[in-house]
Amino acid sequence: MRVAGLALVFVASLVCTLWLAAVAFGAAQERQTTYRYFAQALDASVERGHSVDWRSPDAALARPFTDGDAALLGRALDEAWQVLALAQETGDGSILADRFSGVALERAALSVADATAHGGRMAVLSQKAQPVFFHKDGSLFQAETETVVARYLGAETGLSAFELTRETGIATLLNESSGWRLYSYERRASIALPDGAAPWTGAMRGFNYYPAGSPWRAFWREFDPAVTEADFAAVRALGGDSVRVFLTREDFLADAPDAALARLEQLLALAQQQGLRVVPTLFDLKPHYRLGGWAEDARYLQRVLPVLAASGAVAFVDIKNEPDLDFAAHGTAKVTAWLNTMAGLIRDAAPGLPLTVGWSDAAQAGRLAKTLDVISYHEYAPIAGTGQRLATVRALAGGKPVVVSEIGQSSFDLGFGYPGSEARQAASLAQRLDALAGAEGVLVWTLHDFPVVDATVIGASPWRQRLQAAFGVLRADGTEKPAVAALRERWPDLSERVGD
Amino acid sequence: MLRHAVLMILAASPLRAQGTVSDAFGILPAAALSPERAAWAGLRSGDAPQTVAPAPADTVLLFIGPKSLVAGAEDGHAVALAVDRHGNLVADGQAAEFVLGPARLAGATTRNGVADVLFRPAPQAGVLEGGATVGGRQSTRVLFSVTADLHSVSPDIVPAGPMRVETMATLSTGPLHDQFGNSVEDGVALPLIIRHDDGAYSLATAAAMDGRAEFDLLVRGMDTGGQGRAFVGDNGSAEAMIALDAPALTAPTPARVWPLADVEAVGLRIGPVATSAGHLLNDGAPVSARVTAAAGQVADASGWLRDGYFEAVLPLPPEAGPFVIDLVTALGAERALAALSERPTRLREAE
Repeated sequence: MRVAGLALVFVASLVCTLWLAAVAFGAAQERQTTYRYFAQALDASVERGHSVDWRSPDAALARPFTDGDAALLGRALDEAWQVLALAQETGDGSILADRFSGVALERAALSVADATAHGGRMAVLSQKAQPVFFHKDGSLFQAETETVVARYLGAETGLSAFELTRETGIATLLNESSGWRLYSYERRASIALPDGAAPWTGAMRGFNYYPAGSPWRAFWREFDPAVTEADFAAVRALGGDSVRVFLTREDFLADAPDAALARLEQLLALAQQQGLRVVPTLFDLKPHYRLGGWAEDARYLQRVLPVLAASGAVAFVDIKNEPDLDFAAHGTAKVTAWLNTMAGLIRDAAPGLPLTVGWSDAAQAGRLAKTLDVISYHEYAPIAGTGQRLATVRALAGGKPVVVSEIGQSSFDLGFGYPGSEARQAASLAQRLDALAGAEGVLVWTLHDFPVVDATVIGASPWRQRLQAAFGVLRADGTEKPAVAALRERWPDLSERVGD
Repeated sequence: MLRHAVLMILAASPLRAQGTVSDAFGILPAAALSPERAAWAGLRSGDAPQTVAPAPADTVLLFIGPKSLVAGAEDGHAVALAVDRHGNLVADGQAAEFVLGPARLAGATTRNGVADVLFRPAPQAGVLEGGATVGGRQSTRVLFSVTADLHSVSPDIVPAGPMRVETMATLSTGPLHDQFGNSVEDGVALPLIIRHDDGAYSLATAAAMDGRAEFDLLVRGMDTGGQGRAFVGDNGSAEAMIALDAPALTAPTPARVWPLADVEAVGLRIGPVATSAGHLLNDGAPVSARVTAAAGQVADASGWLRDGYFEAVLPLPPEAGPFVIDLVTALGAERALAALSERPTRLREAE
C-alpha cells in the first residue's frame, strides 16, 4: 500500500514537471516568434540606416562625436519613435523595451495604454539633433532635438483632433548592454506648422497620362522622353492643355532615386516646352498607412517637392489618388490624418504649390475643403446627375476651383456592343463633358489604350484587365477613336485661347 | 442624401478639437489625462498650454568612467543624472557635489538634468568609491579603480642557472612596479622572448602575480642557449643570458658488425644510443653512418633509431674488416672501430 502510494507520488511529480517544461518551452517559442517578426513590424526604412539630420555641437564634448556614433544614435532615435508609433497602433507595448528604458519606457508604456483607450496616435516625421553632452566613456548621451510631429485623435466618425507641429526637446540616451536606448525625452517647445494657402485659378482640360506601352508601375522605370514628347504633342493636337501623371511611392523612395527624379524633371520640361500644365499625383500605389512609415513619406516629399516647385509646368499637386477608397481598410481617421500631415508638410516645404486631393467620387469632395486650394473628384457615376453633383461640390468648395480629374468610359466590346463600344464611349464622354461645362477643369482617363495592363495594380481578372485596357481615346496603334471627335468639338483650338 | 452626407463630412472635419491635450508622447482627451501623466515635465499643449516644471531632485544616477583609470595619466569623468520623483530631469542650475575617493569636488551645476566633472585621481592604484549629491539628494555608491601605469614599468629578469634539456625550467622577473610604486595588477600578461645563438626564437608568456611574473618553459627543441627579454607592453627588460645544459651521447656508442651468410655483405648494429641525461635517444631520431673497411671500401647507411638501436645491411665483404664507423646523430658525431664479430643472437640485446 505504502509502495503504491510512493509510486503514485512519483508519477504525479513526473507529470507535473513535464507539464511545466512544456509550458516554458511553449512560452519560449512564442517569444521567439514574436521577436522574429520584430524587424518585419518596423518600416523597412529603418534597415537602411537612419534619417536624423545631425548638427555639430556648439561646444566641445568630453568625448568626440564620430560618424559611427551618429549612425548608432541616429538609428536609436529613429527606431524609438517608430516603435512607439507601432505600439500605439497595435496596443502592444511589449516591443517598447527594445528601444526605450528608464523614464522614457514608463512614459511610452503609459502613452500606449492611453492610445489604446482613447485612439490617440503620434508619428515623428523628421528629426534634427545636436549633441549637447557625451560621457567620456560613451555611456550617456544627450541631444537637443528638433522634430516635426503629427498627432491625432481618431473617432468612429473620423478625425476628432489633429496637430502638426515643429518642436524642440531634450533626448537622453544610455548605452546599455543591448545598445543605445532612449532613457528620457522631454518636449520643451512646440509650434504648429502654418496652414497656408496657394490659390489656383484658371481652366484646364486634358488627360490622365501613361504611355501606351508602359502604364502604372512601368511608367518611370521605362520612361522614354521621345515617347512622352510625342504623346504630349498628341495631347495638344487633341485640344488638351494639361496632363495628370502619377509619382509612385516606391520609385521615388528607392535607394537611388536620382534616376526617377531626373526623369520627372525631363517630363516637366517636355510639358513646359509643349505648353502643357502638369498635375502630379503623389504617393501612387502607397501600400499602407502605418504610422511607422510616415517618416518615409516625409522623405519622399523632401525628394520630389524641390523638383515640382522649381518647375513652371506644375499647375497644382494632387496629394493622393482616391484615398477615400482606403478608408475601409485603414480607417477614416488615420487616412484623413495622413492627408492633413502630407498637406502640412507640402505647405511647409513648398508653400507656392497649390494642393488638391483626387477623391474617387463627388460625395467625398467636401473633405478637407478648407485645407485644399483646388477641389477635385472623379466622375464615373451614372451620367444622369453629373451636373447636380458638380453643383453640390461647387457649393461645398466655397469659391475654390473645382476640377473633375477623372472621367472616362471603357470602349471594350466583347460583342454586340457589350459591355461597351467605341460609339458608346464617344457618346458618354460627350454627355459627361457637357454636364461638366461649369467645372474649372476636366481630365479624361486616359489618353491611350494599353496593350498590356499591369496586373499587380488591376488584378488578375481578365475581364477587369480588358475593361481597363480600353479607356483610351487613342487605340493601341495610335489611331483615334470616335471619342476624339467629341473632344475636339468641345475643346476649342488652343490658339484661340488667350492668356493661358 | 448626398447633401446630407456632405454636411456630415464637413461637420466631422478636423483640425483642433476642444478638450484635448498633447505632450511628448502623444495626444489624448484632456479628461483622460492621469495625474501621473500630468506630472511629466515639459510643454503640454491643449486648450490651456502649460510648461510643467520639474520637482526637486529625488534620484541621482552616477556614472564614472572610464572604469579603470591609469595612475597619473588619465582623467576620469563623473556624471550625475538627476531626476525628480516623477522621472523628470531636474531644473537647470542645481548645485552638484562629487566625492571621488579622497577628493571632494564642488561647483558643478545641472544642465538638462546632468552635472559633471572631469577629475585626475591621485596616482595610487586601488579601488575607490564615488558618490554625487544634487539638490541635497545623494546617489548610491559607485566604484572605480586606478591602475598601475604600465608604460612606466621596467621589467628585469632574475639571473638563473643553465636550463636542463627535457625538463621544466622557471625564469622569473624582479618586482614589477610603475613610476609611482604601484605594483602591476595580477593577470597582466608578460611575454618572454629568447633569441637563441643559432638564430631561433622561443616565446613564453606569464601572468603577473603579487607584483612578479614567472615563466615556465619546457626545454625541448632548443639546440643552444641565448639572450632573453621580458616585456610589459612595449617596455622590454635588458637582455639576460640564458644558458642551456644540453645532453651528449654516452660515448662510445656501441657498434657491432657481423658477416651475413651467402652474400658478400655485413650487418651493422649501432646502439644503444643513450644520452648523458640517462635515457635513450628517442625513436625516430635520425642516424647516419659511414663505414670504411680496412681495405678501403666504403658504405653509407642512414635511418632512424628504434628503441635506441639502428641496424643496416652494408655491401662490404666481411673479410675487409676491421671497420671504422663514423656515426652522426642529433647530439653530434663520433667515431668507433668495430671488428667482425658474431651475429647477435637476440636483436636488441644489450652489449
